[in-house]
Amino acid sequence: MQTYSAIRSTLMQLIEAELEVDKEQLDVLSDDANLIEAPLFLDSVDLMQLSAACKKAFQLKDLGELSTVTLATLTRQIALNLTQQKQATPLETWADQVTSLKETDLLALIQRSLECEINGQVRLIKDSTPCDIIVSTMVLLAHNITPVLSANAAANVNAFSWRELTLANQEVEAPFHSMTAFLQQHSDKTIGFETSGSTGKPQTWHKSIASLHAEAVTFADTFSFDSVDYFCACVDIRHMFGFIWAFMLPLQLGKPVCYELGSTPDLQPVKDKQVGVILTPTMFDFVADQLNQNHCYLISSGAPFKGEKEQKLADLISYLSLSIQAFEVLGSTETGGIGYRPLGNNETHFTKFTAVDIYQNGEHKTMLRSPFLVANCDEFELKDKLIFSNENQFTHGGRADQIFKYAGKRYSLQSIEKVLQERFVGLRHRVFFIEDNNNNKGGELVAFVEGLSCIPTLQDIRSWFKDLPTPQVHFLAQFPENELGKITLSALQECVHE
Amino acid sequence: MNNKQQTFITGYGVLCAAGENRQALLTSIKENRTGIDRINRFDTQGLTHNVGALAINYENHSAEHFDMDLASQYAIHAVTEALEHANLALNQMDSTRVAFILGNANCGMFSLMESLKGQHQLGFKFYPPHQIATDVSRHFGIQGPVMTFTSACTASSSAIAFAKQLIENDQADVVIAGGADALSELVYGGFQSVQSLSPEPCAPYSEKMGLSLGEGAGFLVFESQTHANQRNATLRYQLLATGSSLDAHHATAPNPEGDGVRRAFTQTLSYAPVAASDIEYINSHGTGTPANDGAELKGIQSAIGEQAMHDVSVSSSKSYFGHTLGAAGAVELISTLVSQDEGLLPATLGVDSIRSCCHAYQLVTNQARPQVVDVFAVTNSAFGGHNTSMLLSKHQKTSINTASKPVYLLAATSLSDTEVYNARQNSTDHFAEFNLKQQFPALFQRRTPCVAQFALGACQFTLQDSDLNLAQLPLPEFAAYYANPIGSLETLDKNLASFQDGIAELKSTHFPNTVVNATLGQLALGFGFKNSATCVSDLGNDFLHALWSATLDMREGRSRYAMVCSSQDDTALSQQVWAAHQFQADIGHFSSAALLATSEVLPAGYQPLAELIDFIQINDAQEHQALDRLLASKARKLSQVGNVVLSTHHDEAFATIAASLDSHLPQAQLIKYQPQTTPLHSTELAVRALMHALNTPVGDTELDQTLLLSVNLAGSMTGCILRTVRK
Repeated sequence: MQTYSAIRSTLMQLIEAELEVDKEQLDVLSDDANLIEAPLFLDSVDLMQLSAACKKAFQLKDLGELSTVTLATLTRQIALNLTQQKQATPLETWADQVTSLKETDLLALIQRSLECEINGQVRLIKDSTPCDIIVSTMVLLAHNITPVLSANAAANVNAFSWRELTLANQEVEAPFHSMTAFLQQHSDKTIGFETSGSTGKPQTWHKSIASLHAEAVTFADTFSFDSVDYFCACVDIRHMFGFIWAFMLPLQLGKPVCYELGSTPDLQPVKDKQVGVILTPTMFDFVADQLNQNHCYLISSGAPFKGEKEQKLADLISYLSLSIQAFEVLGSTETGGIGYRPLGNNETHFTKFTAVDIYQNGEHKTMLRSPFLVANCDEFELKDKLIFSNENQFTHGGRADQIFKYAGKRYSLQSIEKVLQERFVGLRHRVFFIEDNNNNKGGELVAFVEGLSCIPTLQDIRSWFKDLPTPQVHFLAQFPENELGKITLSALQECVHE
Repeated sequence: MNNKQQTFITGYGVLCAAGENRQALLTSIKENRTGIDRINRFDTQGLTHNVGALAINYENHSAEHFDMDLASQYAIHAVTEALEHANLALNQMDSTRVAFILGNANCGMFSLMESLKGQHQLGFKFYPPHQIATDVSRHFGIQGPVMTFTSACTASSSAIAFAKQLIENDQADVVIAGGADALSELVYGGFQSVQSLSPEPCAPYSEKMGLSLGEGAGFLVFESQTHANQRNATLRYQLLATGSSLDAHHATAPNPEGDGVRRAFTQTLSYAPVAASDIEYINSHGTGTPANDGAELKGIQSAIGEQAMHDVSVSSSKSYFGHTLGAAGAVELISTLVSQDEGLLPATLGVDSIRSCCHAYQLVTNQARPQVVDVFAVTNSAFGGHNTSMLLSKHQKTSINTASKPVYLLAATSLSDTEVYNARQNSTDHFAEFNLKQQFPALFQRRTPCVAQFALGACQFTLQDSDLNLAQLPLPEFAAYYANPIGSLETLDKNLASFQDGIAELKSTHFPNTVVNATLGQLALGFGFKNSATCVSDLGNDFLHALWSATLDMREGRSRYAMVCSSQDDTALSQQVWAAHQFQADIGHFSSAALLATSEVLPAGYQPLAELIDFIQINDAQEHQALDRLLASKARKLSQVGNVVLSTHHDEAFATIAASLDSHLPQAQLIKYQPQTTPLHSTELAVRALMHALNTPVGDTELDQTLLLSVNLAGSMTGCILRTVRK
């Protein structure tokens, strides 16, 4: 399989050679420019030739009709068709502890749902099991309603579940022969992913099906999952990472996936099948002792896979002579995948995904351009500090300086953190600036410190910060971690209120 | 106002997939039977489908002596039937009063492919489309005008329109006009590359999209009323009026609103002695492609009005015999005539479900309909955005006599790789290498082949040479006439290179430029020309024939301005073609252009270069008896000729022609035009001779006309009588 950037690169070559387009025009062609408009002004004859050339170059049986087309849509269309072609046999199942869902079942459910009336333009999905979440998501897409996946939707009265529909009983013939074809048809639609938000308020990020697919294609191309018979996913597919890795990727690869969630996931492989494990660092602790020779792949994302976990994995590989390939994938809901690094061999460098472009803009901000960004976003300012050792490899240097304006003056969060770090060596701490226009200082500066037995006085605290604003410091026995292993402001605040 | 001859059809003959003669075609129409089937003449491996419409018993023709292209053989078959139908024995006529006008799209592609496959050696010789006209006309001993129209799918309807003009202007008593085309794998694969072919027999207007390619020939005998009456011939149908237009929209797709079709039809109506409401049936182009059918009907409706369209029956005959390309206009007209002979309207077969854009029309589908009509029309459209229409009637009508407007040549240029000659300035500008993109970037389009780049350049130089205010020229009103002997061989070279990897490897980006009139479309797109147009080919007199066509149109008032242009490229393949004609042409690319206008638009005090008076042609200049008869019959027209400029590639012809001229034009000075630079392009000699004639002063005020005579590579001579205006 080819990566997004490889397909794009071949496409550019084809446009230049087959359509006699000047190199200078190609150099200024953006991924989202309509090819029949400036700068290329291709016509229908060009598009026919481009289609024919693509079919030949990518060995595609069909590419469909090219009408309004951009480099990005064409690249995705090719990727989707490549996938479709690869899937000679239908994907067997998605299985959670309640439901086992075949691709044909899913397609039939979608088709049967079309008889039902579903209102709204955007609907939260309230299902909690992966198979139900998948069905509800696809049903809403089929009804041209934007699904929003949220872990906090169950109580929302307007939230949707396909289980509440009264589906027609008769046998139906689905117009799509595969879910890939269905998703291709809806490639311009978006799915919303609700995150906890850095300021404590939940935030919804919309990702296009096309970008989710492009990301899955890239992951499929970057890693060799040939040896994987099926995936075991210990991640919540309501998170973007889970949706991509535990739904889109298996679909892309045509491999079954079983969902093992909760605190007692079962990773024991079916017979002698080779298993690819998808998890978060938090879940690693629950499954580590189940790893054996049948686990050939491990992918972790959602939060940093930190030192002690990595050491544990390295020890397991060594003691058990595991032939597992393990990787940490760096990224976020907003950015999609950025890069990856192997786990278990002390490698600290991430390798950038080829479709991703990271650069400094004129204001010296680190910007990211990628086909995996949230919808309608051309580039994204990275808050993380990435230190590049060469063009494609970097280490993750934590968050870049974050500046906040307090009482009319500018400070960096890092300077506050540095004070806490010096005072509380080895203890975890977090600092947040919560903007508030009603606050005459511009917002509230809060800090959290974990595991301190002797609480300092407010006077002591003020003395530490000298020329810096003094945060309101909360001392907690233990930081709360969510299922991805992340420590969020809202969870910390909840602990304080308790 | 002059009393023009009325034009009647006295006979017709046909060969196509639905019948090898009129009766067989009629039987197919009556039995609702299509001739479209699987193609078995050539290898279609790799293509998604292989449906087409080969001429019935084509094997009988291709198996004959390979002394002419398959299209020529088809043409002879159809012309023979047409003459029999007209009960006309050509050998009993003055052969100089008989003309042969061919429409052709594919050139001699069949022969060329056979040669490339090693089947025979003459393919290169048979490739130029005018070779087909030459072979057929000489087979029948025709000595009058022989012209070839190569505007792709409108070629034979252009030929028919020109036939009418020849008769109306008393330049022939009988004109045999129509079209012939033989299908080849290169053409078939090319249409597949632009995704135009239908996987099953085409059913225009239906939801089945796509066309079926066909081949064959259709020819009609047109006669002046006077001549037909003299020999008591049956006046079967009358050709009332014709019209043409350019879309200036796209290389292969028609204007989606049918604007070009509307203008061609409106022009036709303006010359017809009938009203739109008199039209009872229209045989439309109706290819079956998504782009054509709805747009064409929309265009016709906007020309004749909603009410008239509601009352008129429409069908496309292509579902019987496919799209016969260069023969389409003629074969489809004949399908209407044979049907009407039996009181039927031909149907469009295979229509299960009518396309939404065609619902509003009175379509004749699936079964020929019994209905006798008087006035009917035929429409065609072609690559390059060329549209034609013609109106006919069963019962005699009195055609409109239009005032004959004087036509002037304002400026002319010839352009080669390194220089441009401006006739108006009588000067030559030199440059390192002509480069359209650098010199006239606004005219440059990606994928424009050399023939079109040079044509665009020559036209722009001509406009500049005219001394007119270019900003004020109404370019959309301009008519355009393009001439090229063999099309873009640069493109054909590329096409053949792709073909070496298989028929499925032909490229959609190359194919549209393989038709000769692709350049006509590029001129229209480049300058916005939208008025009348033709595209012609010859073996040397291409430019003169385009001038002729333009002059006749302008005299009738179809346009006030016209751009006439010819161009020719130079490739290894073109050199092989010319070598087969014993002509060496290894000299780069060449183009020429002339700006024409009628007197009404000339600015006060403006001095044109010349007035174009008339044209003459003899098919074999070395037939001195025929030449004598021609010159004798034209004595009145030639009475004011003071200079004769004669150019010929054949030195041996010069003496014969000079002797005849000496006896018929004793008052004239004979100037043998021999340019210093050789070799020349096949079209170049005539152009240079014209430039020479334009700048050769006539001493005598009484004898103020110049007769330019040019003999082409096949020995056919065309003459242009002009009066140099500028002193």
